Amino acid sequence: MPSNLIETHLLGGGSVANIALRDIEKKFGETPVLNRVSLTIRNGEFVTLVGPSGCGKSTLLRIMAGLEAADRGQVLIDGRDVSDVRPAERNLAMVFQSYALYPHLSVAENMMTPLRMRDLSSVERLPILGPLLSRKRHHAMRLQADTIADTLKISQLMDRKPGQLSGGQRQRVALGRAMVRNPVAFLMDEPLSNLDAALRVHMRAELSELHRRLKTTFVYVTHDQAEALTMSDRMAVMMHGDILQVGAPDEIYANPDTLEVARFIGSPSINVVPGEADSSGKIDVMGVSVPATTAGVRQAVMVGLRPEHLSLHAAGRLSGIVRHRENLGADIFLHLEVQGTQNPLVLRAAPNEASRIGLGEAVAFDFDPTDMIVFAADGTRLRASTPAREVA
Amino acid sequence: MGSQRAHLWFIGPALILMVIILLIPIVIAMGLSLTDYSLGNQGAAFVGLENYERIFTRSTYEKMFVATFRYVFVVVPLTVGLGLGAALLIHSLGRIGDLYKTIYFLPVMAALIAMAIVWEFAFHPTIGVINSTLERGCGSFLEAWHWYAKGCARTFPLWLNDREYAIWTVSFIGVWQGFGFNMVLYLAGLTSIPAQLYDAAEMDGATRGWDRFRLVTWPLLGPTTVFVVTISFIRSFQVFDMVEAFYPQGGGPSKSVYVMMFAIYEKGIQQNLMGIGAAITVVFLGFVMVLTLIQRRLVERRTHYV
Repeated sequence: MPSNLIETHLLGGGSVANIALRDIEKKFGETPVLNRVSLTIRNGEFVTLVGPSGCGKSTLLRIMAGLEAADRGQVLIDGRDVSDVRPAERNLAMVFQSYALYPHLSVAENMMTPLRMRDLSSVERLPILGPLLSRKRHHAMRLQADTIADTLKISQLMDRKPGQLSGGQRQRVALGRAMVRNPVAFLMDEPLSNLDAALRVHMRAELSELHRRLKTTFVYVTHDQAEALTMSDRMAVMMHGDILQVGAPDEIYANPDTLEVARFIGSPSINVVPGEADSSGKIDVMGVSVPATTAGVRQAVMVGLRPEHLSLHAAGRLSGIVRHRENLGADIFLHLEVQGTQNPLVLRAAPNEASRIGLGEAVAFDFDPTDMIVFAADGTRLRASTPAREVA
Repeated sequence: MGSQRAHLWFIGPALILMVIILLIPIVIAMGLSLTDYSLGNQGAAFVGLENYERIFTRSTYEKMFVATFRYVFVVVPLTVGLGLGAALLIHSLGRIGDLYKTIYFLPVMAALIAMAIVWEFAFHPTIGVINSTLERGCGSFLEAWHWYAKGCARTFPLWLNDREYAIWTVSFIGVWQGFGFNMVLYLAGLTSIPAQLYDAAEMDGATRGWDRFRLVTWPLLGPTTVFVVTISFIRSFQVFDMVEAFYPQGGGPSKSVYVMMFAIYEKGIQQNLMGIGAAITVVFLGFVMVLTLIQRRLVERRTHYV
């Protein structure tokens, strides 16, 4: 098959699998961390692994990088099995949560380190003698680092030590060190979590921009669903060692496969209320009966309704008492106590609608039945498999 | 008004204590070093720099400097090197590491004066375990080594009582005793190196152990090394108990182990020549002071990455 392989390489299209994980299994002692995880990442894609702490997302990234060995399974990079290849030879670059800059080296030296380690012999790396022996190559490396520094706007910091930089600047230097040798893919392990909120939002945009410019594969690990939603081409939602769902952010937000995914993605999180489906294809939820597109089988269901799908409506079929208001400026989230539900429902309202509503007031609201996301009692999604046979 | 003097109450007690127990004794020692005072005398005559002149001209004190510097410049590099080596090895081990840690640290905890007795036995020329072990090797290929053949033909060295060997033997015991301490300091330094730096080094292409050592371990141990080296220097300059245990009568064969601390003790306490004893003390303080300054000026600036 080599000719085939070369062909796909020459095409260089987005269809080439850049990194493929097959049935990765990992245990730390007796604790399973990853259970037969498989994932294919296409060339040039921005893929986010997102999940709560301890779901195995960082371990998966470290297995990709080669810093951790999988107990079972394969890692393929550009079609080559790299399970036994050292991290350095996989030609991946990694950005760490703590940036992991060498504190004793200047920014320029930090950025040149990957080049020095790769392209210079140990003699040429000697402190004073080295630059004398291969002046040209040292010069070329410095130029390369300077070019990257220009694109990241850190040229004026090149002679400083990491300790003299702010968090955001360190972040850029770590990126620069990763970019300097044109890796096959960038692996990022929660790179923004040490930054303050405003800078984090800013860096989100900047990373997306960088990805568009470099057109290289990005694999990004985060526990922040907002980062996953805003930046990625595709995201993989992980929980307790499994990938629950892979898809475009829109797709996962609007169409989650399981209740867990639905609950994890979206902020404030989805409202889940118990309901009862009957054989006629209707669902009885919070005392109202609404038509649903799920198969008409009589069973207990969980109905998911996003805050933006609930709307204040004077003639609404439902009513609740306002227990808490969250004013975010552009939106106001009302927490409503509704008869027959345990947790308050969160409703998103526009400021002009909700500004006069005080705590303890009863409000009427409603929702469009087509917005319902219906799950079975065990948390699996009930989809519109076949249209309801009988329409009431 | 009272509040304006409040600061005096805060710094006062510490300041007074420092002056009384640190600065005044040093000043008194300096003063004494300019006299021929001995304990019990009514008065003392001012002799100017005569004591210092003696220290830097008489052959006894030349021997003192030779012995001290030999000891220091053998013990410091070896304890630092071995301490680092042992720490790196132990750090790479799992639970067994704790066992090694305890074993290597034992000599540090043990009183050197007690250990000196054991070493005196071990180094005994005829019944000592070292020479009798060496004798077993006689007649084997080891005799190809000239030194060994000579030892077999006559006797193996009188380790502690031979002018040629005494200071090196004492240094060896000093290394044996001291490196465990440095090892513990280095272990503390090693645990504070963030693991992600090694991951980063691995990703950057530092595949060999030596590369990772050069790129991460050694530079990040910089502050520890500065501290370890300084502490080792000061501890080595202060060596005394072993010399006193081995050679209660005057500093070893031909005064070849006549280290500074022992000289201070012999002059100032045994012979009651407080003036000269104080002068040696001041010279000793000078050395330690210079070392500390070098540490602060030269190295600390480069190893603290602020």
